Amino acid sequence: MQIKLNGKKVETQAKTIAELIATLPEKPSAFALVLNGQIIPKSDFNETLVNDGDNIEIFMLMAGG
Amino acid sequence: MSETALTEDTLVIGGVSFKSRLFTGTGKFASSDTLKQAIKASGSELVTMAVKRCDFANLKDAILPALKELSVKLLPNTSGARDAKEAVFAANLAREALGTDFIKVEIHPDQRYLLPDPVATLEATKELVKQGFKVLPYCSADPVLCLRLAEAGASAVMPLGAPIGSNQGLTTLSMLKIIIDQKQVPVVVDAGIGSPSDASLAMEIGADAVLVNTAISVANNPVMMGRAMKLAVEAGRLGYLGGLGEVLSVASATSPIDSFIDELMQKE
Repeated sequence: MQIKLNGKKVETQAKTIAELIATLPEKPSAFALVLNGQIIPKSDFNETLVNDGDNIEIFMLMAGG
Repeated sequence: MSETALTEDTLVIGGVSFKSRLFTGTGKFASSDTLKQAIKASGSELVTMAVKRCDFANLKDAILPALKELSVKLLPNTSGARDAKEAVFAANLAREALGTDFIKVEIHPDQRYLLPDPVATLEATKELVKQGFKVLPYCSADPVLCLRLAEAGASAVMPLGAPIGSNQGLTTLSMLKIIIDQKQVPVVVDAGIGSPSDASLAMEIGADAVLVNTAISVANNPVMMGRAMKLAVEAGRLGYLGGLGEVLSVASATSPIDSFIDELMQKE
């Protein structure tokens, strides 16, 4: 299936958010994940299913004042 | 008051105690190593970061691990938010990513001056307090707004000295004095501090802390400037606690002014 990850179309076999995160070649040391506009707590990653057409955004902490 | 007073002088914001009254930002450093060394030299215990969407093609994640080594407390900001709704969302992203309830509300829709939107800042503060955040709003140096933010439950207020990154110093000095005079929560002077003397001045007039970023990060030697800011903040704080003398329009002699020379001359 195809999802949108941080604005880019991506093919994935991941069934859950936890599986999707595990497939990322690199991930930030601290992040938050937004699925179709909703923040998904890390404790829900195993139970949250990935569906075709989902829009997933991952946010991280960066330099700032 | 003894000289040891400074060692017992603790600032409490949102239930957390700070020995250092210098808060620092992490923007615009040349490298994460320079950032780490400069923050270490500054003695800062509260350090800001921004929340941004990951760029997987160019994942730069060196800063957070460097800061974790320093054991500083992190203060994520909502920079980039253009209204209250976006700021509330950014705060929740930060809480999810870092597990902290501390949030610096920062809403500046205008890119040229980056001045905070006071109405949206108050609105976001109210909502985030309801959601259990410890809110530190970056705001205009408006004494009435600062009271309203405190009433809304802000843990501190962060009025600006001058536009962000401008290094202009405390252009809002007279308003900052009023804000400090009628404060209900700690006052952290944020934005515009360009030199150690600016930081000292903010502390001398009774600010509880200052937040410095650009002045340190763009210095020729950020590590040296971090140390300079530390000393300046401590000097300013001691000056405030020590109590400044009255400003007079005429001289007030510091040496005896008996005219002993005249008397000697007369004897001859």
